[in-house]
Amino acid sequence: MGQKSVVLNLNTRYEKPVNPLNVFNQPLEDGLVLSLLKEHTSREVETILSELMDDENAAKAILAKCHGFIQATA
Amino acid sequence: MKVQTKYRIHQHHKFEHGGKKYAADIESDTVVEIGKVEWALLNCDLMQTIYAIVKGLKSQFKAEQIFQGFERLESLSRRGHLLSPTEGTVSGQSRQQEVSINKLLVPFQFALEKNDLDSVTNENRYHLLKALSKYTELETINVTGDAAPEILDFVSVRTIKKEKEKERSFPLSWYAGDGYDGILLLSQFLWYDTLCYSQKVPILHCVESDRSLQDRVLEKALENSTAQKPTDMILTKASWLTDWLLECTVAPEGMYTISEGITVVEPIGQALAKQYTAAITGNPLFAKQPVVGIISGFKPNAGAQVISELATSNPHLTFFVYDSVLAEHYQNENSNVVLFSADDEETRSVLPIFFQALDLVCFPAIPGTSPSLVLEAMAYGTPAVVLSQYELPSEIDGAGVLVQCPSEAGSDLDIPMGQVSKAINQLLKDTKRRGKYAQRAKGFAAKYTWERTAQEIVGLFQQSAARAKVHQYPSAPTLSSPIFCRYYDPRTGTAYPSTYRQETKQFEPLENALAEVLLKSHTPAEVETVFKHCQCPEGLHTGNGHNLKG
Repeated sequence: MGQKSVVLNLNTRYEKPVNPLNVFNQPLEDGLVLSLLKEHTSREVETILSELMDDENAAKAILAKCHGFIQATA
Repeated sequence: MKVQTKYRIHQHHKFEHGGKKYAADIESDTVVEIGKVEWALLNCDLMQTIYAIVKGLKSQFKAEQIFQGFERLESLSRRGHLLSPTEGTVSGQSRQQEVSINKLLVPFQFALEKNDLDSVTNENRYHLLKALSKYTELETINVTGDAAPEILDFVSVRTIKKEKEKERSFPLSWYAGDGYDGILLLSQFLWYDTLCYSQKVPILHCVESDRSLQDRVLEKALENSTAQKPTDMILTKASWLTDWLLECTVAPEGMYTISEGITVVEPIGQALAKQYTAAITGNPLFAKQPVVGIISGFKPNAGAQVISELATSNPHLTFFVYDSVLAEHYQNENSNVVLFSADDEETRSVLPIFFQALDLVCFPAIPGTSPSLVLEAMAYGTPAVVLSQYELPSEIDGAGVLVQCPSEAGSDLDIPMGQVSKAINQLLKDTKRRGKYAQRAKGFAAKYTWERTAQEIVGLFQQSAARAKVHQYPSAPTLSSPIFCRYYDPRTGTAYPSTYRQETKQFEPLENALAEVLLKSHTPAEVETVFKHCQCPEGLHTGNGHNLKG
């Protein structure tokens, strides 16, 4: 469980350092999306984000950003 | 594009030590611990399809174990251990190459819905499949082991037989990726099978504009939209249906509109058609007065009201109404109205005569109005008056006028009856404009053919298959995972986020399922932090979900 929990790796400001060098932090929403996308479709994740954030456009933007991140690091 | 594993196994040596199994990869110079399933998989030919591999190992392991073992090997492969994919990322040049669509799967469940849908929808499905069969092989799967379903001649049936009587058979979805280049889903009532369909096979969901579906269209489209992989598509048959679905928050990505084909007979001339119509309907007004055709997609009560008001306020006109529900159940009291429905071959064969007798076609651009009937009626050179909350539909652009209507709840329209009557009478008087529109409408017969529809659908599959080839997608949701979706409540006409549980076939609150999913991979503290951060008012739920579908 310890190793898996690193996936979100949340800090007290709800931010997630995605790389070992801590060059930049990633917001919680991004970590949540990256985690959920492993087993769920984009549409499903978009539904969850829309519900949690109450802002459909922001949810779409985060999802698009995470897709870009996944592709860039694939 | 078939789903194949296509992995080359590295040169390796398998050994056991201290009760554990290991594989020493000579090429990547690493030793990894493996399980008994991976051990067996490494003895297989991974150039086979996944179906062949599972079949080969089914006697030793459960199917789920084999899939999990394969996923673990794939994960090792991504790190460069034990396996190397033989189909790498495709270069920019080959992205442009056309992917051939040799065989489509057409699940036969749509044939069971025959009695629930309008006869025109069934007829159009026949024409579509017939036209498609000229461009690609069509096949359906029968996994029940019973007699093959009654299906059309040009759709072959693949029967899956159980090898042993007590053997658990795989669901249809498991076979759906085995040898098919795409899946054409015609069913309007089944959707959950699509969730476990194979990853790389594109799925095209056809959304019908059928008189008996109405708001069910939205429910299905939202469901499909949730299940959609990036390579899947939703196909609507009319632009107004697309507009409405987009307005109702169905995602535009992967949604396409392709008009259905129409069949037009040799014209007999409008004067003769009017006489025949008067004789067949027993109503002499058809030979004496201008005839307005109404292709109705209204709900029964609304339809009856609109038709009654139009007929009463326009006694100098005769109305030919195509409405399969009202024709059967509504007692029409207006002498200048004939309600009609083509339920069998005989009534269908006279419909072109009625269409040729029309001076105008009037229709509401709403889900339920058959777009192919509209186009067919217009194709004899008849302009249209369109009732819509959107712009003039692109299909009939240049061949009709628009009466803008405010929208009501769901798919209903608030029809401004005065404006509709005015638009009809103005267009009937304006012979010059009517002639121009008529000329345009006459071109529909050549424009909307089943061959063109089939070609465009095959083209969509080609595009989608090409996209699938260059992208890697996450693994498919398993049956045990909750499915996050939007729940459409027909009582309120609203859609809101929810979760669907495959096993129980019930909807439940989204937060419960989200917590469950996150807890699989994260600590309770992390999950709690997520909910706190998102200020979820209800926090973590632990109770049982409620069944919104009853």
